Amino acid sequence: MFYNKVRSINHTGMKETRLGEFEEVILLLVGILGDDAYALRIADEFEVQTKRSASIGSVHATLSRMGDKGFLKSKMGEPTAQRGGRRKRIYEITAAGEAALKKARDLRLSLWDQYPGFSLSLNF
Amino acid sequence: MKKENFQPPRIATKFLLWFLKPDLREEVAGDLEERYFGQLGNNSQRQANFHYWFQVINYLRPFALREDLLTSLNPFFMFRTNFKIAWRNLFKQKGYSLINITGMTLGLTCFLLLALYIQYESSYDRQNEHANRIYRIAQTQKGNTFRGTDQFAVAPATIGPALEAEFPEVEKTVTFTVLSTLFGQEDQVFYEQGLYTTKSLFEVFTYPIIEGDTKAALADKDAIILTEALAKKYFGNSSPIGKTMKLSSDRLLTVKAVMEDLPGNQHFKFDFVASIDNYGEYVEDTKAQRWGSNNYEVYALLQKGADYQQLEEKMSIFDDKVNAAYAEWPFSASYFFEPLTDIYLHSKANFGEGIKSDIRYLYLSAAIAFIILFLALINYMNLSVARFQQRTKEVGVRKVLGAKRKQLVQQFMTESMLVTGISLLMGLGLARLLLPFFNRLLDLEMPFLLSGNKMILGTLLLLALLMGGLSGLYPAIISSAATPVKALQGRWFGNQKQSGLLRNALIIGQFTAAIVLATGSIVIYQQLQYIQNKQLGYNRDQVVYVPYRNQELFDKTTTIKEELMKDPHIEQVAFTNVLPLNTNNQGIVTEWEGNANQQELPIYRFRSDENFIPLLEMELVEGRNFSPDFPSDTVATYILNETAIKTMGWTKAAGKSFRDGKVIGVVKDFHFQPFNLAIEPMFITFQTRTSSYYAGNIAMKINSDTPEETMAHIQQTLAKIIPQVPFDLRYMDDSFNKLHRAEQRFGDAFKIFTFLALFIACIGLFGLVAHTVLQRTKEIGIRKVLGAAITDIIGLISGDFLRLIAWSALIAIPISWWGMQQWLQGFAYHTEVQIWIFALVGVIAIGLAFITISLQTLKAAMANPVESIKTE
Repeated sequence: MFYNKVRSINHTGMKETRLGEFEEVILLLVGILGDDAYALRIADEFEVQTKRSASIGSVHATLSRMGDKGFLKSKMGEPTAQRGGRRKRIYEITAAGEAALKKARDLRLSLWDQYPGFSLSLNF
Repeated sequence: MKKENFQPPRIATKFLLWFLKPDLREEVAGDLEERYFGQLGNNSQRQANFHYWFQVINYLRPFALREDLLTSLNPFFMFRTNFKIAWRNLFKQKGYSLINITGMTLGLTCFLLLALYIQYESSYDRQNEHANRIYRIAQTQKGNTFRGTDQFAVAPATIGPALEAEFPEVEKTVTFTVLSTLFGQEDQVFYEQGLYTTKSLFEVFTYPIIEGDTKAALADKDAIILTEALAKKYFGNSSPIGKTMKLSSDRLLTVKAVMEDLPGNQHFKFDFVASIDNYGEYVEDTKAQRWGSNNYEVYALLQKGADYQQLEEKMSIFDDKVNAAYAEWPFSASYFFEPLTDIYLHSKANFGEGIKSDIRYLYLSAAIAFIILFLALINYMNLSVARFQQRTKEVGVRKVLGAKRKQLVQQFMTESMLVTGISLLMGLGLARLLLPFFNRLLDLEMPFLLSGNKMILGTLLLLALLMGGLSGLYPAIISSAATPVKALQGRWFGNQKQSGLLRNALIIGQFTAAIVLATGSIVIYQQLQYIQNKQLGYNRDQVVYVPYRNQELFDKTTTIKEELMKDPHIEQVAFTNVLPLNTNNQGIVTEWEGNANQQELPIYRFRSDENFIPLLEMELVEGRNFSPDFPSDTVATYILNETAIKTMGWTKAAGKSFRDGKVIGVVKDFHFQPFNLAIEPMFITFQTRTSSYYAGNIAMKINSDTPEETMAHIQQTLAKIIPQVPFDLRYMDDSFNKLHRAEQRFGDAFKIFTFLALFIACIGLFGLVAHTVLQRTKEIGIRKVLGAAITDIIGLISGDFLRLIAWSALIAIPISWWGMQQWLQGFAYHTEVQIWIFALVGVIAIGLAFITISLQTLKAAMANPVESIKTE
């Protein structure tokens, strides 16, 4: 349950630099969406791209966790009329985030390369 | 409404903002709102709302929660732990849990059903908007005692208008009379209850209207208002407005309005409403200003804040008129008000229109509800104390690890609350399931309404909380008093003697209650049997009758009789105004030989013919029956009953003068009233054309192996000769049973609750014995090794318990004896409470207890002693 996690989050210790699958996708989406990367938009895009649904809360939790890890930074955007004048939080990938993404991609490509009879015939 | 105007559900937003970290509020609220309006584009508002809620709930994540919320939730986490342990204990000791939950569930189900019953019974007439300002006008006639009371819930036609004219605090009155009227269309003719009323009915009472104009309808003598059910019966689904209906086979009335059906909890009932001007007597009574014509129901709507008791006193201004109207009677009338909401449960008056119950039934129901709940509660307390003795080590460990007193109490409370909570849910479900059967048993239409004015749900929750608290209290307190060392040693650290005493007292209490209920239920059963088999003084077997209301029938009695008798299976046919069921035709006689007009004799009147006495196989103790051989019998000749003779102080009656004629015979006393009333004076006189031959019964004695054919013959004959009278054949036996239906239902319900009470008490005992046996396993093993027989061991264990049951029986005897005497006093003719009943119930209780105990003990006694001794 959630209260256990509260206590296990380690704010001062070593930072975890590996990315989970969900984290990786979210991070990529932040990069893709650019100036439009706020929680709701990311959740929507996630649904469009992966055909899986994710609640805004779960996306937001991941964004916040990756913020803690230093992969993302964020700032409040300009107030817009549709949201009753409320501002959005726009996310942006940091250098550490880029590095983590790259690392994840490299690992994957290297693995694909070693996968027998599949690596060369694969056309993107 | 345009979709742009919708807003996300406000409670959801409030909740979201409450638990969210302050610095997240703006962005999250914005995101969710944007999503909401996005959703509205493709979905219904409901779906969008649902989705919004889903998103809000999904924000309940650690990162988003307010910091202070987490610390404030500490007790909640503690509760979770307690709950987890309580849950585990529940399954660890399945047997005990089953007993506890079964007992509590049954207890709560009974409580709930009885609470629904009490709520329904006390809701009568309260649906009226002005219910607490409406009063029924009734009267006391001092000296005119009828069926045990001198109060009558009827009033003259003059009083309503007089009240309105004299007293400004009377806002409105309505005068009406309910008559069973022949009613219908062409080929569909039935008796329906007609309410003939003055114009103000709908101003006093609140009746929802479906269509039409009631005001116009009541202003018009030729208009009629139907209830929905009646409209459906005659017109199906088409609108009846403007159609005509036939009243009493000659008047045509136009339907001008349809009202909703009456609720089941209104004390008087009717099927249609028409103007009281259709009731000839009313027109005459009003014209002649007759204060003595007590043919009406009168209800008054008082102004807000008016005091009806003061008004009663002021009504003495009518005294002169009233006394003048009663000049020829040995008594007069004084009027009083009965609050509408009291009528159903509290009114004692005679002749009140509609149905009546008795507040005592409600008190009794409440008592039974609490007794059964109490039994279940005791089960829980006893079992949890017993079980608790096994958990001393657990308490010790907890204490050593630093558990505070409060935490231990909380732990035990959580456990008892869990049991009560589960039972409550199951009880609610079971009650919902059983309500239709309960309704059928009591012949009611109670809804499953938990939030009525009696707030059943609130009471139930409070009660469950109380039960949970109470039953968890004892173990909680003892455990907190223990020292850790003692507890760890696993020794019982409560006061052994004290807790034993408490347990014993509780068991005695439980079985006392169960035995009282059981004896009660046997006595009630006996009284019902007594009523069934009592020598009535007449024979109602194979007697059927057709009631009628028809003036023309008198001229056809001979033809009807002859035609009916053509079927050899019909032995006798008699015409009579009343049958000995619930006779109500009564008057006062002052003229008889030797009285010289001094004494008054209230006496019941039968108007019958020469076949009445032989048909019902009544016995003549003196003189003779009416006979066609004496043509003069049809005028002013009387047959009296023994009580009448005794009351008048006669020893011989035949030939003496009575009223305007003479007595020709004396009939042996027979019961013509329900059994709560004593036999009173009555006479039979011959039917004549001059007596208002309007309502009566065709009674037939049949003797047939093929009753269907005989019934068909009766129907065809009557349809041929008197087609205007609907065929409504009844068995006298059924009607007789209906008279005592309240007692019958009461007996049925009582039986069920008695059974439940015994069952709950027994499963509690079962659990307790199981526990004792478990504790004494080693002891039993050692005894067996030393040569004890199985019987010795059963005797050892059961002896303790059986002594308690015997005590309960001793305590229960005087209580139930007294209670049953009280109940039987209500009947003029009743069975006696016999000693053998107590003996029987005592033996049954001890027997049941013994079986319960033996079931458990036997297992332990037969076990291999080696195994028993090894157990830890």
